[in-house]
Amino acid sequence: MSKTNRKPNYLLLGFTKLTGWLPTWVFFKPKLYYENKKKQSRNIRGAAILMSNHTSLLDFVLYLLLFWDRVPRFLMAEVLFTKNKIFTWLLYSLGGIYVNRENVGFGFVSKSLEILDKGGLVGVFPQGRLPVEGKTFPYKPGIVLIASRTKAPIIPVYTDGNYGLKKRAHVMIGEPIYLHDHFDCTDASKEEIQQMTDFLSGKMDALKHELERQMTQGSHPAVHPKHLPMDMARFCLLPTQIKYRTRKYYLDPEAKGKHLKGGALIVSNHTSFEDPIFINSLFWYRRLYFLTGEVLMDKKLWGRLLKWAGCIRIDRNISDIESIRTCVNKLKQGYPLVMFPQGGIKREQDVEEIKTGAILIALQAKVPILPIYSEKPKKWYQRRKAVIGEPLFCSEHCSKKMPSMADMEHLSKLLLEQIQACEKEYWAKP
Amino acid sequence: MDVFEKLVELFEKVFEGDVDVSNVNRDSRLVEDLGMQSIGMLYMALAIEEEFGVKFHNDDFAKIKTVEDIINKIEGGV
Repeated sequence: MSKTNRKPNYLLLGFTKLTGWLPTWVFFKPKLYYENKKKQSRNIRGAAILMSNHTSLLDFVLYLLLFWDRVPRFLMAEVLFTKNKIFTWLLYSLGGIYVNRENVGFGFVSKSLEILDKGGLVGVFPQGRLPVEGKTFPYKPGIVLIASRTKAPIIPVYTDGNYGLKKRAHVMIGEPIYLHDHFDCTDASKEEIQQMTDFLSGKMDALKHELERQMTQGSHPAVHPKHLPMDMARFCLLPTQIKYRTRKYYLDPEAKGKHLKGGALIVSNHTSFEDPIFINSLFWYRRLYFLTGEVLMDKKLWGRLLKWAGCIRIDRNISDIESIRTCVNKLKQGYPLVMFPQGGIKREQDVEEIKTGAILIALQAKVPILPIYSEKPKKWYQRRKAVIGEPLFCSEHCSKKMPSMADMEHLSKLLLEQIQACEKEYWAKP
Repeated sequence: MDVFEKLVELFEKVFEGDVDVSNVNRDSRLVEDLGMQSIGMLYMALAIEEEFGVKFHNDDFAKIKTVEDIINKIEGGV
């Protein structure tokens, strides 16, 4: 029997699944999230291709135990089968399908199609290998070769790989993807296959962002005594909607009309004391926290009022780790936080420099950064306009678990470019 | 691996070439010898919190001047 055609040992599989609940709840403690639970829940029915990012060898074990009523037959690289005889037997027994990446053989495609024809579940890690020093690998077209020859859907699943005794894995299950709905898969050329592979890679990136968003989206009650002062301040500021009559422009056309959800770091240029009130009017439907300098917060009455209204004091003269921690906690709880990374009011028009603190906070809280550019109109009665940029996901540009200072500087430059793009758009609009 | 070695490893990850870790010793001054800026200090502190499970307060930054001071904080904290 060829290596690709080896059958699993159903006795061992059954035993593993029966006894697997203990390691699942001790070691993985998976918390499941869904893109759309009505369309795809944990129960995968019928033939399907399970597509996942690859964080660790344990991903396979997690899925084996997570989808307890199915046997995902994962494609596995040849290197895993050369370690030792017992390990090789174990992998085959648990449903592994041998893939030789060196001498490109397509036996795995026909084997996968055979399993799918019988209504089975095939698992693929399209990156093909584990990340090296935090760097992930581009998606390989193997999954497209399978999906384009079958009508079975691709179920995208994203794991954050946070496995361990004191850790918890967060797993996001996405909506099924029918490749035939998006592409003409018959006789696809090399370029078209690459296009489909990039499409799937993009879907997984979107799933990752959705997981990050849902993880930071706490359940915030509509009314709660602890939020009363903050809500009162928001209520008092509602008439500013009439004053500003804001014209909103979006760099990402898809963001138009969508409400801000979950934790996000909102960064804006700072030209006047009115800016926080204006940003509050932009996101009137959310409780916003503001990072506010010590100069304002140390004024007795003002300081107290601002604190009630949701301002977090930061002392810019020291390394204020306690404020940073408070900001990160608020973001992790799913609140949006507003900060002005220029470090104070800069009346000059051009944003030429920003501080790295915004990146530090966003990285710690694992939330996207939303750049905004707006200026106070020359006359008080004029409408105010604002350009809202594309959210910057730090993890998209740096996948290291612990980014270096150089990485933070790089991300800071990217953020500056995003704000400058908003600024350019601002002046291009009437 | 002792605390100092772990700390040097952390320096290497966080400062990635900006700090010559081969010259780091217990008496190295963070600002003068290693060239740490305030944002670097903050990031370093957050990384240490995650790695060693200690908690830094604002007052600590006034006291911590050398690598030895960080080690004392970690050992005291632990």
